[in-house]
Amino acid sequence: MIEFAVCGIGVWGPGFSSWDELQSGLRGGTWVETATLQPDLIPARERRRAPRFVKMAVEVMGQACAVAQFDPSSLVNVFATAMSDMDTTDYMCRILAESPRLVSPTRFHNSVTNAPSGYWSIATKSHSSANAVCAYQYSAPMALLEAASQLVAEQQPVLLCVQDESSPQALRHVSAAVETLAIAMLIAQPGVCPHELMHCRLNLLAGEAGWPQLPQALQGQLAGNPSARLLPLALAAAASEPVSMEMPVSPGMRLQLQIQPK
Amino acid sequence: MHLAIPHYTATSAVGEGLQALGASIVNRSSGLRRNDFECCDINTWIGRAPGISSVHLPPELRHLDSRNNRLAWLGLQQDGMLEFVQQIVSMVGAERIGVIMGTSTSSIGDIERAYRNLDKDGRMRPQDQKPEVQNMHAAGIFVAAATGLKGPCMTISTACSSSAKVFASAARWIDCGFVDATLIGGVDSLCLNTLYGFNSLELVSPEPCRPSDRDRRGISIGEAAGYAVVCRPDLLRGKHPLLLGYGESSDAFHMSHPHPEGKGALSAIDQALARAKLDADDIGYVNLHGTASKANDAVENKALAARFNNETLCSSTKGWTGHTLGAAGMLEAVITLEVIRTGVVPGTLNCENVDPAFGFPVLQENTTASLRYALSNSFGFGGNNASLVFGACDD
Repeated sequence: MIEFAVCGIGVWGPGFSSWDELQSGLRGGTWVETATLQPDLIPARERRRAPRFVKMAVEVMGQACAVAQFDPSSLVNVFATAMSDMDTTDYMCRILAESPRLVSPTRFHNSVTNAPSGYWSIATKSHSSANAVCAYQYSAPMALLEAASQLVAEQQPVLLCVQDESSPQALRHVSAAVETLAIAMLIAQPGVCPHELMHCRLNLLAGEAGWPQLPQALQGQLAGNPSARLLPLALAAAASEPVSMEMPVSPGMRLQLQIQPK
Repeated sequence: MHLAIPHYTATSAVGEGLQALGASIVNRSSGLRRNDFECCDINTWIGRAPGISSVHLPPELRHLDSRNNRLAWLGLQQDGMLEFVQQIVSMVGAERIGVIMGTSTSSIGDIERAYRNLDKDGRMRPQDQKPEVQNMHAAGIFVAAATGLKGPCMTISTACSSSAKVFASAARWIDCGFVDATLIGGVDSLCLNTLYGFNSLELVSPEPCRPSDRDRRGISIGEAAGYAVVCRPDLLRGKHPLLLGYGESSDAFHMSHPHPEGKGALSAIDQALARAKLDADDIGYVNLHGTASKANDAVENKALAARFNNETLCSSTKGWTGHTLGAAGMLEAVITLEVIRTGVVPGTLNCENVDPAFGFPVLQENTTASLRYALSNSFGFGGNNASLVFGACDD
């Protein structure tokens, strides 16, 4: 069993561009026009080269650090995605199907799955470890498992981020995501951070589990997005009572989570 | 930390399994050839795995067919790896063994092929649609299916450090008690994304790559599949080589250019040494990332000069295999383990004149040495670095 505190949450998705906007949307049903994505953390030179996929990840990671009042430059980070930057994959594979194959060098270096971690480290001047993990439909819970194991092994806070984009036409059979979603969570050992949103106990168990339910209001837009599987955990921070949930992490393995909101 | 590595294997341009690898190193015979990859007209040399064209997946895995998964399958057949995995399964159960694969592009070659055949509205044709193959986790999905392992399964994709980092994650999973053992691997295959991508960055060499050479002109892209089983040292009887330390860091400098002073590289090396509780002087051999790009080799040499004394041997083995990108971490971990086991230390193939600007000596000819500890470096785009320290079997 691993115990950790969630100290900051950042989100960006359809109708919300912060943790506060997501909660007010769920409370009152008012969803905002999503703001222009312009994360100030990224230096201007890098921002010009950064794809939307990178900007959104850096934005939510920055939000989570701000909520937790944590210096972003010292954090280990774990980035997870089912489908990586599909807009860039689509671009690369389209160009490569043409003749001549005039690939943009910038778009090629942006095509690595760890591009968000790379830009994040440049933006925050962080020399800490950065991981980028993929587990297709299980990417979000796998990110949590990987982040929790890093928390235990390295004994320092971990910034985790999951993100999946809406699919380009040619890749719709691979991902049913119709809207883009990014979620970041800063997790730490209990008692380390003065601003804790919730405490979680995590167990890895054998056996099947279903996915936790998304709130009704988000189901239509986010049910097909693999990164939305982390949303019920994030939302437990706003609950008034303890919450228990399970979710699959691999075929035949599940995570059990017991959550105490603060 | 101490983790046993009771079994490992690698397949690359120099052939299938450890015997072919060892023979090619002793004979100094490179696996590189002039580029003959289908649909690719770039003037360069490549490290093509020769056995891949004769691989046919068994019927139960055929829905996962791709060049990358064929290479993964070919690699799993070597040195009794599949049988060894089954032996561990019979001891601890399939649920207690994790799978962590490292890859930079997974089966993207299959998506490239399908994109050449889109319908007039830009949709992928039904016969080309393979969801479990056309996502980055395809390598992990395939290896779990091929081995029947049921523990947690993920794919790490941090460009060219991917399959070095699998050692670090496996160590943490075992440390946390998630698993008793983990099958870790690296697999990356030739595809147009990397060939034309690195070409667009003017990083591919028009001749076989020449790591650390004064006149080096860039990388030769290769493909490989390598695997290792790691477990708690008390799980198995007998003496096994050890993973003693890992280090992971970020350059925080540039997406495709290394930090000029090797700051991230040094941080990874220092963390790996600290975890192993060793000094730099204890390390007998360093397997360099050594891509033969102008920048990488210069910066890595600078980092070594800052940390090691001249007694430590170092070389790049990419003149044999090419740069196998996301598989390089595992392939070169296997080479490093074999250096410790056999005492045969590869000199840098194709390095005729070591760059006179280098302050740290680079081994050019093969030699023999009795080594207790060795280190392997892997550095990737995004400034993502990993270093691993391996040790000989415990006495």
